[in-house]
Amino acid sequence: MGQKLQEEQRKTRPRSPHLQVYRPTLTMTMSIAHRLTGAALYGGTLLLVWWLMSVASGPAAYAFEQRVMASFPGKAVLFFFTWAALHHAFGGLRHLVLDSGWAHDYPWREYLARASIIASLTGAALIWIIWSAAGSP
Amino acid sequence: MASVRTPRARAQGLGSAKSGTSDFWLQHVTSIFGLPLALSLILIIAATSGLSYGAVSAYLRQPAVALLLLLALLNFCVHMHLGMKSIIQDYVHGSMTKPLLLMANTGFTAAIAAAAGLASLTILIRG
Repeated sequence: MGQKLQEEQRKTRPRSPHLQVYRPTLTMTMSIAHRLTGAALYGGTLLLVWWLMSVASGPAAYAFEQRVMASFPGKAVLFFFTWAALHHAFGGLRHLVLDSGWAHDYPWREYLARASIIASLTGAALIWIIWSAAGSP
Repeated sequence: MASVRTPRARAQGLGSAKSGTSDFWLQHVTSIFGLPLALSLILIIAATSGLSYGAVSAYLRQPAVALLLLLALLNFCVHMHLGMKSIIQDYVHGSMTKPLLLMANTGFTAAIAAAAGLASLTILIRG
């Protein structure tokens, strides 16, 4: 009885506000992007380990890995990987600053959020421009 | 019924993580070590890109390179294990799904760490 009453009450009780309640802000978006890129990089370690395992396995396995990564979908995934890694790294630096108690006030928190997205996008673009200029497609 | 327990004692351990700040701290330690290690990972990948198979495995066989690679991968395995753990603790509350996902997280990161270690060892010994 008490259990059932609790279940009923739970449905009508006011719920604690979550993301959809708030007007989206840049700092909030960058925080979400930090978690999403973190989750993507989690899966991305499979690619890193595949690369290492293919070198350990021999020339045929390595050639296959290189062929897949040189294809258009392979390159697209690698570009996203590069950006996600940089964004998570810059986002991590931003969170280290915030966790140390700095830059919580306007306008510094906005500058930090903007800096992390600009740095990750230009960083990823630069790496790929240098990489293709060096002749490694 | 009145209780002699303080409000703090009643609240202790009821957070979604059921524990203190050690995960938070280790997450931050591996994030700071992760910055130079990620940079060396990018440089190693850039240095080997476009090389022949023999040149790539010779490059990875250098002790300093193998050490950096392994340190980077192990560091990120710890980091991503903690990260995914807190994502699961934040969003999954089922009495079956939560422990199962937490187990899967441990299995996945342990497998990645073991594969990285095994691959590095094989590359070193094959030389």
